[in-house]
Amino acid sequence: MGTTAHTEVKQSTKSAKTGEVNMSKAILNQILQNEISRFSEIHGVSTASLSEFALFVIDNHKKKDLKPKPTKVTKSKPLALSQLKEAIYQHFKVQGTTELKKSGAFQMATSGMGKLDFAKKDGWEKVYRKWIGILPDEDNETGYGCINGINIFKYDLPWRAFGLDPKLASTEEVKSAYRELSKIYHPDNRETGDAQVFHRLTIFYKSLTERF
Amino acid sequence: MAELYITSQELIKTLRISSQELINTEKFFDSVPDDEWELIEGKDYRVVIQSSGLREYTAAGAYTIARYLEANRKSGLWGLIKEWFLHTKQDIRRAFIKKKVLDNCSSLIKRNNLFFISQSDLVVIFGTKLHYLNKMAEHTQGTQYALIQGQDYDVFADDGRRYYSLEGIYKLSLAFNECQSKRNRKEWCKEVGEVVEPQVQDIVSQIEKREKSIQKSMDNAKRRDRKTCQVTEQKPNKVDNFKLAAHHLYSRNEYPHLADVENNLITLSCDVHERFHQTHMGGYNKPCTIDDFINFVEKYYPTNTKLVIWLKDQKLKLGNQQPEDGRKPHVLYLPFNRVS
Repeated sequence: MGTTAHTEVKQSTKSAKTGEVNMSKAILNQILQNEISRFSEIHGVSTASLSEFALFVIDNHKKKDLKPKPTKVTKSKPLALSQLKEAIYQHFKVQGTTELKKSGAFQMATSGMGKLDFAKKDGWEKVYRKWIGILPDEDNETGYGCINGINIFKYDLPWRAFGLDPKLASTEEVKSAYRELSKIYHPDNRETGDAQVFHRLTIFYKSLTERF
Repeated sequence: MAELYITSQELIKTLRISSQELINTEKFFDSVPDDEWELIEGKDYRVVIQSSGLREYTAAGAYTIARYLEANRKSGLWGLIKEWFLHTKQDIRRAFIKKKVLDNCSSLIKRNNLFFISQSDLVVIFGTKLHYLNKMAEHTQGTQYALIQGQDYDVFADDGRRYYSLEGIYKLSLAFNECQSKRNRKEWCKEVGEVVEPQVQDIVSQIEKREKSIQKSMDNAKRRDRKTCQVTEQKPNKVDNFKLAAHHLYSRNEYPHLADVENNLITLSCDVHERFHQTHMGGYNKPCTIDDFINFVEKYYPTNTKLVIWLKDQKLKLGNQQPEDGRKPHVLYLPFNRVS
């Protein structure tokens, strides 16, 4: 089928170049025209549309797909250790690490975080995530466990995960956001469901709707 | 808070002056009446030793001395006095909060590696009312750093009460600090968020020490009794290698102050121990006293009269004992497994 059709298509293209665009049945071979008639009857589509589509396919089937240009993601630079420390000192109103470790507020605030290794940046980052905010290089993060730009396993930020403003959102909006996310992450969803993510989201939901 | 005094020793240390300088300053103040420099007994100081006239100063008195010394010789003394009173006031307030925690955290429990304290205990520790504590929790929920179930608070199935973890208490203290208008209340609540954790650590450490002490007393009692059941007078051997138990004559939970007292312990075979608790008392959870055990021996082992004499002697040594309030045991008497 291909060869005959191709020859005739080339002719049609040439005529198109001279300004005589004629996408008529004449340039499609008999086999294609018969098939177009059959499809037209079965599906109730006009033969003209089908002919046009057939010509489009013949003309373009060897062309390569246009590759989408990779969008340049500008990732923020991670904070330096000294910047992390400074932010944490400021939050706990201390001058240095020795004072920080002695600070009762710091001991309270980190009591559930297990043993923190302050010899490594990781220990400081954990405290930053918990009490200061989102690390610049982790804002708008994508990948496993990331919802609305944050990793829900790293951050205790339910409002952000639900994409809501804590000052403005109503309980109904919390419910609605949870419902929408549940459609994606509920383990019953075979394609996108994830028990761990769903469990974490459920904890966030229960926390935000708790009546104290 | 009652009037705060600084001792003469602390005053000279704070002002970095010699004791003679203080004595001379006091003499100067007392020598010329009705001049600019006056120290009034009762208002600026109190005499603690009449014979020597040793004084303790109020903040007003200490500031007056600092002002005099600044005018005459040194500068920067005012700030030193201010710092001393601020620090001392903070230390006293913290001591008060720690005492409140100690007396009001019998609900302390460790779950999922986190320490939790009940909402009702927290109401007392923060010195607030339940509805206001709940208001602070609601306030926290309206911020990015909301309280997270299981991490910051939880409701435990065994008693259905709401508990807050130490991190949760810290979040609440931030809310109180933000919402309170009275300065002293603000400071109190802020410091609750700073002293609870170290205090809980000290309490847990004491509970652990107590547990070890109880175990040591039980081992000592078995050694004292030559590892022999004091009721049947039998000792385990290779043929009949029965287990021994150290029995608390006054039960451990109801008389926790006697739990690590050796005189309150007696060595029994596990069979006899079981018979006493299950058959005679009706269950291990039933409180018992030394009188219950005397009755048991007299009823089931009437020939062991020596033991009854020994028990009556122990009863005299232990004196008249009153059980603790079972509904709210002191935190220091909590079983170690509750906080470990």
